[in-house]
Amino acid sequence: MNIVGLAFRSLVRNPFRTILTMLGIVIGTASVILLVSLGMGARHLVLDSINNLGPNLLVVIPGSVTDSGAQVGGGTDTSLTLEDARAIREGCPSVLEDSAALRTAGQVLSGNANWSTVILGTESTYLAVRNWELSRGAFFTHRDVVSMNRVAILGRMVARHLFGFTDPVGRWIQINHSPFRVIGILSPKGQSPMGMNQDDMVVIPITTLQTQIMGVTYVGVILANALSTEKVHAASREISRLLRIRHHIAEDGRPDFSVQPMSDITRTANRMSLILTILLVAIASISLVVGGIGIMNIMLVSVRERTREIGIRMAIGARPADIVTQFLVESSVLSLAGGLTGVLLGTGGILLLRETVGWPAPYPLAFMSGTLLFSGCLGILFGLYPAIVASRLDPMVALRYE
Amino acid sequence: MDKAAGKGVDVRLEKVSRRFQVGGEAFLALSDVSLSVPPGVHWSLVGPSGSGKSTLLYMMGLLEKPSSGEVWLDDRRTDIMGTAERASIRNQRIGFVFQNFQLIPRTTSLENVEMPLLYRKVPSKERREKARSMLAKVGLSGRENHYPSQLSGGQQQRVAIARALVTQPGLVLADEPTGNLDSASSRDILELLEQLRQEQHFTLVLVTHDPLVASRAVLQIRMRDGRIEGMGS
Repeated sequence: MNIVGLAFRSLVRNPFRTILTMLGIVIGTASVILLVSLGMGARHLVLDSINNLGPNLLVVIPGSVTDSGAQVGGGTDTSLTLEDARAIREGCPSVLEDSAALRTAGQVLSGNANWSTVILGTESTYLAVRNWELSRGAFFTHRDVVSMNRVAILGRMVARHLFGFTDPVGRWIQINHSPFRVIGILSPKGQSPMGMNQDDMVVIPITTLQTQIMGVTYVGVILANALSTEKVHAASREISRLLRIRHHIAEDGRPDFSVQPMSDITRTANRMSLILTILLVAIASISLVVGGIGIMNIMLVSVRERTREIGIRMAIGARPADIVTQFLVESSVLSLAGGLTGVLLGTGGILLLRETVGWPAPYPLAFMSGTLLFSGCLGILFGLYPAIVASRLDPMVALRYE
Repeated sequence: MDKAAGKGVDVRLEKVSRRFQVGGEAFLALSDVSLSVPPGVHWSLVGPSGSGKSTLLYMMGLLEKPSSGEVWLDDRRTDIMGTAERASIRNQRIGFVFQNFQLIPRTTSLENVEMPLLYRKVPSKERREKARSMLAKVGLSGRENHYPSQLSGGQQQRVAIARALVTQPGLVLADEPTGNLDSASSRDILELLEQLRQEQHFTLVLVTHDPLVASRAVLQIRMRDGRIEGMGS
């Protein structure tokens, strides 16, 4: 029996109380670890899907952005046109290619099957700009765009819903009551950075969408690819200059569009999810601290209950430091055991997330050991006051305590 | 300090007073007591309750601090020492036997007896051996793993004696050690204490109000109203 054994013994003597005391630390630790892993997974997911668009990509959207990156009326303005897209293609030397796009919701029919989905109108360069491929058939051509032909490329999910496992290429569908011929199927892509399922979409020539379905002349977005990653910012400047001239906006005027390199969006998304993670961890840490206060409470009760024992120990030669050590070891064992259980529980939670939801939650090993260390420190911090109270008892008073 | 182990302690009190504050009223438990207890003798401390005999006992045991006066132990002045140093002296030179045994509950006999050695940083194996042989000396072989609640009063007091003596103290202070025992157990305990005193040569100071118990001592100190009323044999 040594000092640590002593602590274990007194904790084992009162198992129910020990477990209840540990519970605060257990929950705190488990939630800190789970939330950190969750946040890291979210970040991973967002960055992955953004990067999957290509590092050279620039997005031109109508409406302006403030200095901080917040959008003002973004996406609702109608300032961008197909001519802007063509001008960028022809007048910006750092731009390899670009593609205007516009989207709306639509009802797609084939025989008895019908499906509500997104109708994306775009140009023939879309696949190259998006770094996307077809799994079957062919994309529409520039001539299809010029002639406003009624041809459609189906996303994988739309194809499944309308045609099951039969080949849709060459078949006819109806989009908002107009017949379109299916000429190709997109390869599966999954979620977009904005959380949309990109396989749930029908792609048609943008001119067809503008004139025959929506009756508008603007485009929703222009996606441009720079010649290389190094040229992204040069391309951004060229596009801005060009559009300012085309839209008659002075050097110091607020533009009615904004150009955002994907890499900047990545950085912003990264920062946002980091802030979110920190916030979550801060909240979880509060529960850890509350757990620590629970330990202090129980230790104070324990000191009172064992007043006579403390008196006996002092009489047979325990120095104040010995008493402090005894109670500190006890509270540290309590909080460390709680922390360890919490880490195991959190790891179990992470495993569950990975197996059931497929969330890419990593195991934050460094963070786990840090949290464990922190819970140990909590035990010492909140055990200190009760331990000092115990060590300051007058042995004569303590021996006579009933 | 270990070279002193097994030898009696020389205790000397110089004009020791101890005041207590009870409900705003000062109460003098000891009043100008001067006393010299030579080593290796069996003393008894008698007197009516409230006469200050317990306070005097714990004053010698360094559990009480004088309000005024000096307490000397082995030619060291202890009343001006710090708490830790007094605790070390208690651990190394003094053993206590209490009326209500004061064993730590839910802790085995062996662990209770080991405890003073724990605070001396004796290695665990040696600790266990010493505690085991001390329990054998008080006649409790085979009861090492019993808890206090599983032992009779007499057996509990034997464990307490083993705990007091395992460190080979020079001074053993017993506060009414037979007060909670029947007459047969009382006789056994007193005989055990006397027998061990002769083996280990410690000074024994025994507080009692039982004249029969007091008569076993070589010397008697009679207390009344916080003063020494008389000494005799």
